[in-house]
Amino acid sequence: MSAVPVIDVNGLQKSYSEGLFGTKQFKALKGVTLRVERGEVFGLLGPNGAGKTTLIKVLLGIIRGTGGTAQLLGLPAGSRAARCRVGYLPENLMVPRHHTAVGALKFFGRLSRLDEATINRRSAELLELVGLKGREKELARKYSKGMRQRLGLAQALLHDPDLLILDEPTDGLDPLGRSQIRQILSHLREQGKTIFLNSHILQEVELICDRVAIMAKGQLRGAGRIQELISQFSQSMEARIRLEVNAPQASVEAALGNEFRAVVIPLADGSYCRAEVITPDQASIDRCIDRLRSHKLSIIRLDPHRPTLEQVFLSVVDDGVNAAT
Amino acid sequence: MRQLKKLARVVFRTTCFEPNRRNNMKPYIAILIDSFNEAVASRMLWILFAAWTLILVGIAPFGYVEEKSFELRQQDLKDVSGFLKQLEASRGGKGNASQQRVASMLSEETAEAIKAYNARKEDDGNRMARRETYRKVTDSLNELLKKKELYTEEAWPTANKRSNMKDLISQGTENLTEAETQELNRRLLESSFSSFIQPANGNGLWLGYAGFKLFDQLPVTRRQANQFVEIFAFSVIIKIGLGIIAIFVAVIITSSLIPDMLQAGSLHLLLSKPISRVLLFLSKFFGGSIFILLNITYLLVGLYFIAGWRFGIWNEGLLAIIPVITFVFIIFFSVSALAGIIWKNAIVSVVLTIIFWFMCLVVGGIRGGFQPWAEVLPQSISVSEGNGELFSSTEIGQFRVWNNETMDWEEAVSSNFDPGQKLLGPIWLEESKQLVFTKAGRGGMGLRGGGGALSIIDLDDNVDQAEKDKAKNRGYRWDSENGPNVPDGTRQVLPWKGTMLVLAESGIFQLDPKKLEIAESVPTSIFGFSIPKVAAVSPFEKVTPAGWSSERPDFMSVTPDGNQVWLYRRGELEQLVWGEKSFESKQTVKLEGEKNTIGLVAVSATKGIVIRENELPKAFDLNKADALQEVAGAKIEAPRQLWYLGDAEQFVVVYQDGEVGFIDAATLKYTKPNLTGQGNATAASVTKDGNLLVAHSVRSTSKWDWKNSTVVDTKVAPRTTLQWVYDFIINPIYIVNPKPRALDQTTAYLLQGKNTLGISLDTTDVEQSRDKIDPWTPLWTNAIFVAVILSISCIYFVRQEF
Repeated sequence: MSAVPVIDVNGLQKSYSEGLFGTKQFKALKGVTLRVERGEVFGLLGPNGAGKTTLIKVLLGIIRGTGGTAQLLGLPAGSRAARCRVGYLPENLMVPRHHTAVGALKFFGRLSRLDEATINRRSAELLELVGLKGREKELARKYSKGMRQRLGLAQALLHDPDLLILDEPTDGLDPLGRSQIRQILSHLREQGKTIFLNSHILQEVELICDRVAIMAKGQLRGAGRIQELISQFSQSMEARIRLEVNAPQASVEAALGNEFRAVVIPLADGSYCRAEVITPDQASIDRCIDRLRSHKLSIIRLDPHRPTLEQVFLSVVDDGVNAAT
Repeated sequence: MRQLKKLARVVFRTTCFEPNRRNNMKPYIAILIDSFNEAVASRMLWILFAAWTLILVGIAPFGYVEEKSFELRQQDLKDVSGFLKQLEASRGGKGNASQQRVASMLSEETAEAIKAYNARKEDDGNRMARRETYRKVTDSLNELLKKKELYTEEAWPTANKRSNMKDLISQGTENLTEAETQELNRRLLESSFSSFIQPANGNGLWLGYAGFKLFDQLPVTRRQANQFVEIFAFSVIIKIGLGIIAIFVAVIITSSLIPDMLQAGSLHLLLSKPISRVLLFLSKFFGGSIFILLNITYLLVGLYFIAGWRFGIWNEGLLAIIPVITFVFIIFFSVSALAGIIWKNAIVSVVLTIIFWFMCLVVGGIRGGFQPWAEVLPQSISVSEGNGELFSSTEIGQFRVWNNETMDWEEAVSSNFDPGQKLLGPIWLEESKQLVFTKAGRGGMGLRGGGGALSIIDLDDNVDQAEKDKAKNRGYRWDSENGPNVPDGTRQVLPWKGTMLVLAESGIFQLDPKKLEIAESVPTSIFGFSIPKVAAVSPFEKVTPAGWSSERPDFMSVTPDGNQVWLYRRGELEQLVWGEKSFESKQTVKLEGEKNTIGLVAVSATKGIVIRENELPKAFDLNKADALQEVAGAKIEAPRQLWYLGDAEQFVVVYQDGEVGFIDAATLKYTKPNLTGQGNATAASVTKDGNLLVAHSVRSTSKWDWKNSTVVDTKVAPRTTLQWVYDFIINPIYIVNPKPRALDQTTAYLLQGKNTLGISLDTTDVEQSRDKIDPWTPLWTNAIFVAVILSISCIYFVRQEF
């Protein structure tokens, strides 16, 4: 197996000229460094405007980077040789109005220089895979958005690429549509395909991706396996515990006093409540429990709070401001 | 150089091809095929197809209806004035019995109209009244053709012996059908008035629709009608139907093609594929042209088959112009595509394309408006010397004389501007020191011929100098006097034996200078014009045999000694030989090919040359005219003027495309001298000293010493203000400006196969200016424009970050 990473980006920069005379510069990518290994499903997270699509455009040669390097499969990103080995599903795919699914696959197959026999064989397989078999002769403009995305996925896979770049593949889809796309991606992962997924839907990334990277304002804020990322960022986030106490809200608030920063929410009929207490260290956890017990309050449940990927994400993109609050 | 080649190869490979890959062009062919599929899927294509189908179905029933017909048409009458006089006289008991029989059977109303017409002064200018009388007489004679009682043995005692009538007469007139009666009566009329009525060939031609006759019988032959269909009907359908409507619709429909491609969801996917941006754009662009190609092909193929099936016009030019019209669309589409790639908006593309279209239209229109006045109409269509003066006449009937002081043309006489008139002459009468000329009117379908007064300029040295100066101050050189009327339908005048010979409808006439008296103007006038008195005795004496007549586009030439006249008439060469007092027809030689082809003839003392339009010149020996020999090295083009050079067997021909060539009738050699004015000549004539005068390049006249291949003198008139504006402002802008409409020339060339195009419907006057057709220059100039626009688009598309 080759050790060459599928995607290898080093200090990648991209600036756009702005203003009437192009005198202003807008930096869309500020030195992004990233590696994606073969067989990985890699998720790129980031809010709108973070630079995710810009990064993909540079990788595909749609735009040129203004600094740094980017390679796909050991080839210069954007080169025709590299593009031959990449399948791409753009955000908001538009299929020409006159195309059926079969017609579209034939057209895109020819653009990828596939011979007719291969196009026909692969089209049949992929239409089956993406669940469009039986509807392949309908005009694509009559398809639902989910069907169009699945067709887009089929065209991206048509020439059996080494790398699949998917830009917001489930954006705008209903839960069923998302589930269908997820199933296809899981299937592709099982086949050992390298998938580079660009999304802002975190649950999806959590469910599918082996590794993720978070981008914000043109910079990569973190990258790694999801657990690693959470651990990495949870250290920088304020630690807290979640308690369920068999006492009314007022009693709990009175017991905690001013020493602890906490949010107390009454539960059920108000006879007991839930409290989330910021506890920077183990000593403060001990003190908190002692305080409640000293007021003779029964602690029904105690959980050390573990941040989710979403919290990590929000924390990262908000430049470290506590996203949970 | 090697470095450059290497660089070019790298650029080419980078942008277009990867040499080691197979199927290099497959993606781009796929885009073209996809564009075709897109066009086929377009509702608009089918709507247009339906519209074209309706048009084709609508015009398919048009065609000719040909029937046997002996109906009399106005153009069958020659020398109408003479005919009407004869009719009136016959009604009064003069003339032979048959003439009297015909005249007596005319209605009273017609007789009164003829009487009124004959009483009218000939040059009263009331053309409407004349035409009305002609129509009335023609209608009346056609009524006469239906009458079974017209024929009587007393009136036509020899008719039953004539081959074309004896069968009909032997059946008994009362037993004849209507058509047979018409035929017999027409033959009777022709025999009675042979000088005035042309023999009918019995074939009538009508424009028909689904077999039904439309309008009256066509006044032209089928070939002439076909010419009209090819030149005008095709042009209207192609210029308006395809050149404007189809292209406009196509521009609107295809305007979204590039902006749609540039939408993120579509473009990013395309750009992610291993294809060249340049070829992606070009494939999309040319793919978009498939839409118009399908439309044009459908209409023109349909038109081709309808024209062939219904009119017998199998013109492959209709198919050849399919790529030309597509190219016209490509010009506009290139602008639309550039706008689309920059602004990514279909509406902006359409608006900018329409602005571009309008700009081309305005620039082309201004140039087209100026061009006739700056380039065509001021052209000299005749140039000559006489009495030490240099004369020329222009396409708009101006008679000019060269002024050596101002080095410019000056008006020779007053009231000189006479559009629609062609100057005949001037002829210098050495003995009487008079310059004479007349004018012939141009009609829609041909040169009508003159019939007005002969203008006389007295250049006797005794003319008072003060009078000359006075004339100069008035803006013209000489006063002219109205002389006697020239014979009706005068079409050509030539100097002959110290006087002049006139070719008119009813024959050839000589001018007797002794009888040439200047008519005094009467003091009264009509609409400000003085009315000349008709000379008591006409100085024009008919010198052709009785019954000899001429019709357009007959053309004559006279041998140097004046004893022979050679005519090219209706596809034949005719030799007339001078007897004691008139010419006698000696021989007629039928030429191969279509008889109505226009042509010219010129003769020396022993040899002659005849040139028919778009045929090689043919030389002949005057004593053996039936042995015609082609001048193989000459060009095939429409001739404009042909003269004997006055020495050996050398002739000079001026072609409509401006080429001047010398033909040696003895050796059958054609030479093209490389002298000033070559390629731009409009007229020529041989001077007394044996040189050749060549009018050329609108403002110039050169005198060629043709024997030594040198130019003796060149006179260049200064530009008029209008010409200055045209040459230095309008034309440069036009040259720089793209010219889609100039491709009309290519279309015209492909349809007609001619290098020149008449400036009017007149197809019979060989000397008339024609627009030179340059079919290929618009192709490459517009191709350069398209290449520049597409290059800009490609560079923008490659550099743009989407």
